[in-house]
Amino acid sequence: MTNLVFGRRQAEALVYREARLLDDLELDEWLTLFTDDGIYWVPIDENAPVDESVSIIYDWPLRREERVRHLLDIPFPAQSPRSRTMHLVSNVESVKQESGEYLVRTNQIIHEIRVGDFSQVGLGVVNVLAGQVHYTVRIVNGNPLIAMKKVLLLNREMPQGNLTFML
Amino acid sequence: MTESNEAADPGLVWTGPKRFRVRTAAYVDPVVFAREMKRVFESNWVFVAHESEISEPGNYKTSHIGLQPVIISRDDDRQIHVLLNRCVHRGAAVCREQRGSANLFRCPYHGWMYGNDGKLVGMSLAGGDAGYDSDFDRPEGLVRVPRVESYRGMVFASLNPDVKPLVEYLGRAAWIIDNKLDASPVGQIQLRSKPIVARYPGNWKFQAENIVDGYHFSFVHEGFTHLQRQYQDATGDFGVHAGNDSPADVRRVRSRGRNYGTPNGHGLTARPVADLVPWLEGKHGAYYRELLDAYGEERLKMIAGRSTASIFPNLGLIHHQIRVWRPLSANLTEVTVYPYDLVGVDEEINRGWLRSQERFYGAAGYGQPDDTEVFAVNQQGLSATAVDWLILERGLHAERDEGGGDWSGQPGGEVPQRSFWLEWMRRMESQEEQS
Amino acid sequence: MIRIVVDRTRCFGYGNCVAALSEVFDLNDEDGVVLVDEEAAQTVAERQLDAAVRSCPTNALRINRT
Repeated sequence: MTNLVFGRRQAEALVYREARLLDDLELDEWLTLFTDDGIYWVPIDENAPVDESVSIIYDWPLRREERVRHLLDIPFPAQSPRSRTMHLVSNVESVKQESGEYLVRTNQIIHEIRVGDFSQVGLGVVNVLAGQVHYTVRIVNGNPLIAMKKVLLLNREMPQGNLTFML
Repeated sequence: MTESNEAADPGLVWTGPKRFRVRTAAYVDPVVFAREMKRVFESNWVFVAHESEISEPGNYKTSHIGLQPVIISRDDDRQIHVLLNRCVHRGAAVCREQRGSANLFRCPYHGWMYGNDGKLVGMSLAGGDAGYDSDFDRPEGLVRVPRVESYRGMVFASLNPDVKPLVEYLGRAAWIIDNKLDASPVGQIQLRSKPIVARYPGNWKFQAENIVDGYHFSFVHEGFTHLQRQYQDATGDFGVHAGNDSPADVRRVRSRGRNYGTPNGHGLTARPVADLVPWLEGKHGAYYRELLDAYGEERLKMIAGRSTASIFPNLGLIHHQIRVWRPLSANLTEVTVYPYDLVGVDEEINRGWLRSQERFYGAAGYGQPDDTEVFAVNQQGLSATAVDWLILERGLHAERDEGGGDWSGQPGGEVPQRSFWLEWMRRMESQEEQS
Repeated sequence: MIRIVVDRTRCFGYGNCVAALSEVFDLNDEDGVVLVDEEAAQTVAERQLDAAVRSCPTNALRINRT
């Protein structure tokens, strides 16, 4: 662990970059933002033991890779046509943990729209998701990497539509 | 049907020799929807809860019978009650939580109080000139759903006091429930996880039809078969989709077994394991040997197999889940997937199936979002109402009588869907009160 | 000596106590809040009194025995 200070400005650089990669579907690069054991978690019940409770997403590294390959390489109905997304990141705070990792708390609003024939059911409508997104950031060889991305959607235990784009 | 009727309008479902078609209006017409809420849901058995969701005295959850909101509660004597969630005074909902524990339900409007058995235990400011007279016709409590019966912990309720006994109603569908629940060596499941809840802009009957549709997998889930070929179990499938690695494999695996139709509208797929040895020698050998000891080889073939059910009108069984679909309007439906744990089975196995279901059925998963997308695409397509009919004639020529009013066909055919529609039509077109 | 303690801020005149034991409890016609006949309370069976107090859905009643 180096003495690199990972304050709000550094945290903003990381999460803004992540938002851009997600919106631009630069997902192979997005994979490199995580540590080798990084977890991407979108819980339904964040207080229940993860092994006893189904999540919207619980991706260990190979599952993250699978998600990216699925979205980039394989056509499937829920993304035919595709979604466009815009991630807005705000309220960024970075606090050092006893472990030496940093907890970066953000609020995010994700706007999403399916392109295609906007006269048809499910297409051409802007959907809005809001939530807290918490990152556990570990400094590895001087690089800040995401050890955990946890997305706490406001409506996490409620009815969801199609979430097959990148949150 | 007499000859003089043959030229008549066939109605919403057109049946005849080599003929089985459903009219577009059955999926899109709000008048049809209002009628089916009465005829298909409110006069029939409807699944409302699993007993493990309300295991302790005072536990409750909310649910629906069609559009009717109900509370399912367990009273202090462990009795289960299904109650309309509406104060009998001036109509406010008395419960605003989805699940919890309560001794009392208190109406927020004027403070009327009901016990967790539904009985009215108090009317506020009851006395005096502004209150109620001494001979006031005091209601007994929340209006209760007259019939409540369970099959192996699965609670069904009916607003119709004259429905036939639940076991009789389930018929052969009870066999599928047995196959599913006997995957626990003690024959019990427990709903521990919060459910996956989705809404889609399409008719509820697409979900009722699709959960037993063996024909769509190679197309809707073609992308998933690619993922399977690439990742196998490494990303958590846990053996559930073994042999679904390509459209050709899917055709082979999914043509095994038999589809069933039943007189009460249930559609079933019973798919035995073709060869038991890999199961017994595989990763979970100890588990399957325990089942073998408990149930014997023939039963184990079905238990370890891949059975699915669409239990009329709102309950589905597939994988290790209870699925409930709830109609909101002709073109809006809510689907709730409750992954369950098998009691008496290693944590590792329950965890494996949980992750497997998350990967396929989650809102960001690789299976169900494609199904619900297609349901929306169906609804979009049906806006072309100038086209009259949908065709459900696969395997109609090769149906086989199974006795007791049941019949069967090869998986990939549309026996389960026809079973659904025949009962639906019977209820929609019947002149008498339903039972 | 038995005293019935009434939390008047909790009483909303449900009248369950009256239904259970009208010898001791009544509702005030003006505000609907409970009235207690302390003298009668000394004479009724303790079991009946306990049941009437427990029947209050807002827990506005309590018994003090001295």
